[in-house]
Amino acid sequence: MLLFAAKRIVRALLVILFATFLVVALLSLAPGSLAVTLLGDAATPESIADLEAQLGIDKPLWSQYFGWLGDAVQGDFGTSLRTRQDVLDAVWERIPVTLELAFLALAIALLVSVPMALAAANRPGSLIDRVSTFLASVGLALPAFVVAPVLVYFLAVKAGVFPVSGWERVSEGAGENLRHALLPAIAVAIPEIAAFQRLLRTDLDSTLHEDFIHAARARGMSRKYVLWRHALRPSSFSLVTLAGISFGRLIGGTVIVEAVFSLPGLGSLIAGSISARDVITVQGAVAFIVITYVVINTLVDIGYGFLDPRVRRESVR
Amino acid sequence: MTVSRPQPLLSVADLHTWIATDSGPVRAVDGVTLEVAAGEAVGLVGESGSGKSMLAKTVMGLLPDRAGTSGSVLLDGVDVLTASEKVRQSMLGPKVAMVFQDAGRALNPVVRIGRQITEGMVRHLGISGSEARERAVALLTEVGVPDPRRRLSNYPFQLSGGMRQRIMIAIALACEPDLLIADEPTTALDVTVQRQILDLLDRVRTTRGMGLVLISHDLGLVAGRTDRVAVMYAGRMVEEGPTDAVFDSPQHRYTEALLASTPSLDAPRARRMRVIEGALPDPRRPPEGCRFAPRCGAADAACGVPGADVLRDGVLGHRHACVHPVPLSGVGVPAGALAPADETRS
Repeated sequence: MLLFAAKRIVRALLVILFATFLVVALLSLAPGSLAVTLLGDAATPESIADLEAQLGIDKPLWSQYFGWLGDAVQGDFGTSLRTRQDVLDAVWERIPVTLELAFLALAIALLVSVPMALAAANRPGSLIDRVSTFLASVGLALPAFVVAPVLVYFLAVKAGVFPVSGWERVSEGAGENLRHALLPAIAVAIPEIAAFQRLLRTDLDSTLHEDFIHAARARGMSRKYVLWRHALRPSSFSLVTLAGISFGRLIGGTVIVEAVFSLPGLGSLIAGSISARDVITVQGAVAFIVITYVVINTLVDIGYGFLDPRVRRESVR
Repeated sequence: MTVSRPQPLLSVADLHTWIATDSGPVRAVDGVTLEVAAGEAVGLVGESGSGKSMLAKTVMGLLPDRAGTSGSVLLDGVDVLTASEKVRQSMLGPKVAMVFQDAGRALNPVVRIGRQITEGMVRHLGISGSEARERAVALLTEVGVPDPRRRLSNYPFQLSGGMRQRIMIAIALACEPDLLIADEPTTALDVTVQRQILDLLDRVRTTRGMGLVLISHDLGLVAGRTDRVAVMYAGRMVEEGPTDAVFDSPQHRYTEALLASTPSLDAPRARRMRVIEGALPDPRRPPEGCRFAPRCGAADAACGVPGADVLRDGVLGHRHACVHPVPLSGVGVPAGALAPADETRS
């Protein structure tokens, strides 16, 4: 198990190196000089050269990358061109919002989709299967920019159960924090619920045809017990993978929902920085997302070892 | 009290089991009647596709959702086909248990051996988890698994095929069933291990006085180990009787052919092994009358009459479904030698 984990971690480091290189490279590969774009009409050859030197983009790509990497490992992701704020501070400030949103959305998605999939797979073709699968299809087809305003309209504006927008820190009370976080989290969770349900439903269906399921039923175990205790775990490999991918995606991908609910998250930071051409902030924030994403997927990989004892054994061989 | 014939442990009467497909129902079991008395060992023999496994699955309630049934399957007097799910589940384990063909696939790969043995006991016998574990250790010892206490925390992949099948048997014995159904219990095993497993089944059956249905495609395997044998072909029962009698003097042409197709070192070289020509009929459109007739050297028009394959009493306690049964002295006569053409019959 230790060797298995060590291998995964080495692989993760390589992925992080490669991905951050792409982040640095892509921005310097963008057409035109960044300095010209930033300075606009006021550009003079001297000011352009000055800014290029300041940004380090006058140097060759490999030197740019190692310069950036060397600073980054010391925790220096640069200073925002727009706000003059330290990029790491800016990311750090916003990450709790995004992380909470992603965690909450993922938890909601799993708590809803797993029982839905189990109920559907229990009796294929039954009413509950068809309703559950239909709802999942609807959820998949609904983009967040449709779901979010609808939720706001009914649950916040009409019913008044939730605030329309805004954010409260956990330090100002967990209840208030949750009240603000729940609606955006549901909006983010709905497409995830749908994807999770479809995937787990399909995997359960093939597991339920296995001999060991028949054998458990032949021992007189109830359908519910067989589903939860015998079928769920061997069926959840793809789900765990997808949930890991989703979580990584949600860290950077809740822009629209953050915008609708005016949440001070990572998504809105990146969106704002892109429109302001704040390259340094975008680099830092994207690098942060990449690292989070890789770390989570590595944890997922290691998690397989807990799901399936055979994975642990194979790694030792 | 009036003394009557003891009620059989398992009584299958006119059972039909079919699976719905797009091209019509597949009639897997088509009017089978079979009884197993308490403590009796019955062999159920036939080639793959004969319906023997579907019969077992019907008894165990393991049919797919697309399956349908008619007739009755009385287990200790309760019809499992019409009983509620709850009643049926309460019988699986304490009344009847099943040993599967391939223990490598019938054991859950991600659940520890201990849980797979104890979960049934906890549910059916109402004992605590720790008591069930103690019983599991005793069971594993009984079925010859060394170091049983440690095995409880193993996963199936950590054990050999023979060990897995022993564990499968221990699981089946856990709730002390009255009847054990073993569906090709040795097919997935090495030849050297096969005998050990069969001997183990024999031993636990006799010490516990348990009924046994031993399902196999191999007549030879069933031979010394069962009291009675039933032969199935294409969903129908074609012959049934005391094992020795069926062996020594098969009366149905199919049983005879099946015996002749079993490799034997004792037989003269010329007839060491014969192959049954042809293939099983389409289970969606079985032929009228005897289903073996298209492959049978002795068949004639009489075999194609509907109802030709009802079981009739033969000699030596057999019942068989053959219009032209093998003559008692004619065991060794090749089936083709008797083949009567239509015009020879008046």
